Amino acid sequence: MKALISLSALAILSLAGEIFGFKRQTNVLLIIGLLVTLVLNFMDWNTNISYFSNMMQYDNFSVAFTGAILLCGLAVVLLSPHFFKVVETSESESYAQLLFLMAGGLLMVSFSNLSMFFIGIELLSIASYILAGTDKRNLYSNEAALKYFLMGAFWSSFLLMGIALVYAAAGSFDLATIAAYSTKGNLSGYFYLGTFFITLALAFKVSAAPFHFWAPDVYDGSPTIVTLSMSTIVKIAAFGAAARLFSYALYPAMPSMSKIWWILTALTLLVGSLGALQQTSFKRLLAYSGVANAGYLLLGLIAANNNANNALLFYLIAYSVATISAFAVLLLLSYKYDDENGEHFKGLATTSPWLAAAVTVSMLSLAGIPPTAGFFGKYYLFTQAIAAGHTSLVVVAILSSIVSIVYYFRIIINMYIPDENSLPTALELPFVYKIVLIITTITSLALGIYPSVLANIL
Amino acid sequence: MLLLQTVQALPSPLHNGELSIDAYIYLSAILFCIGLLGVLLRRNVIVLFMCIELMLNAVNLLLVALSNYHSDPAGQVFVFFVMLVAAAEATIGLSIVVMLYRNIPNTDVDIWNRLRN
Repeated sequence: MKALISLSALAILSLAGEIFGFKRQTNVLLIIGLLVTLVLNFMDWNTNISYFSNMMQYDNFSVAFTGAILLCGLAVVLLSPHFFKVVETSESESYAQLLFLMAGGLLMVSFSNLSMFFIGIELLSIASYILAGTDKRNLYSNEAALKYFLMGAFWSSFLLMGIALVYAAAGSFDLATIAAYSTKGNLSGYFYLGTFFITLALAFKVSAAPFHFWAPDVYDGSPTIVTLSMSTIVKIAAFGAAARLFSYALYPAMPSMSKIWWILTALTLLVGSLGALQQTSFKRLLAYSGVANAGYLLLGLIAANNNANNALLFYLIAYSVATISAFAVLLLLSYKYDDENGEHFKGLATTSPWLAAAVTVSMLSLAGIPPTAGFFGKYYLFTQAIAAGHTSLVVVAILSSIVSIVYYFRIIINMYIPDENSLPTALELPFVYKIVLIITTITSLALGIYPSVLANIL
Repeated sequence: MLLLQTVQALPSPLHNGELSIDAYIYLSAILFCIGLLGVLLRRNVIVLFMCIELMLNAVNLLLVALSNYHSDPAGQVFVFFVMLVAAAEATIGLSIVVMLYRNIPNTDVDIWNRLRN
């Protein structure tokens, strides 16, 4: 709760920076503020207090997911200043939107009432519509904002319909009351219909197939720093919200919806990996890789229990860390070349061996090769899915990860083959990028070698 | 004529002389579907926008009716949240439309499909 208040205060502070003219200091203020927020957040560990007459509940689940969101936000804020030198947008307004987005994410992982869930998802979505369109003169950014907005608003009305139908059956928005109603048995049809609508809306939010069409376009069109926050923060928040909703309240509806989940998960895995195979742009490749990774994460949602949530958290952290380091290198390349093609990765190792090493670790982690975090992330998710009796889905997931090795390794191989067009000098590597890349690479490796640190925290 | 017969064959929405909850659920489902079809069929960005608002308001109607049915005020409070969010969404949506219109003066959504290839 303290974390949420502190985050909202920081968002207002960065808006005030625009008015009172301390824009230049905003970045430093935010970095300090986010570190303080992280500390405040972890002070709530093991307290389990509910706030606002049971509207929100800060248990270990929400503290852990909040921590992940805050760390990703910190990485985005650290990487931002160099980006805003290249793209002409108002820096402190973008920070304010990013922080509002994170505040929405915090609500989404700590709600215990469906109204807070709705407010959180809308706060997150509205901030991300604005962020997608921050590059106002760029037609691609415009298109990304329009597509994201129309699709997002359309699916949020489905979410709302789902909530209303669950309310029709259970007579309350409170998660505990809904859980009590749904475990009683003899559920009304409205409950199943409502759960189905909520599932569809969340499937859109996490970019699961067949609702993934927006993802590559929006990820590609948005400014790169926004793509980074959408593929890490939004993903963590959306999966956190889904895990919380299904494992706290809607789990009795899961067995009867297992066919829908099967189709959703299998399709997401296949579409994500097969789509990524055909991409030449690195940003689009990461977007499709995000779709494929959403498929693995859906495996963790189906089980809808505490161990599965822990596996979900582990994989989300592994995925986010790898994505942050890939995007940091992409940002560095985009400053030099002014575009985001995968082409420029060719021969990177000859001029900047350390950057190439960081990208290699991140690609290995995304592909799930030991000793990286991604391997154990997948291992835990697969174990949970098998325990829940979805062996056939795990087979699909393993096939999909075999396909994914092809496109992740294509990038690694490109980097290590000397190219005649490769850079004459090494890329300029600012200090903060160095710090972020070192931390993400070490985290990827450390979680791969000592997975037990995060394996049983929830 | 057939339509009239079908309507007459539906279970009566009157329950002890009052409208039963089913009538409200049917009405809001119909409104929701009109909005849904509008989003799928129309291509003008402003009309799309209105259709999405219609979908949201269909749910508002349902929430108010259910709140009365369950005699639970939470549903009506939720409607205030939804109206607030819909207003915020309308603001953002219209400003996105204005931003687009400055770059390409057209309100057809189909011209915005450069990213696909």
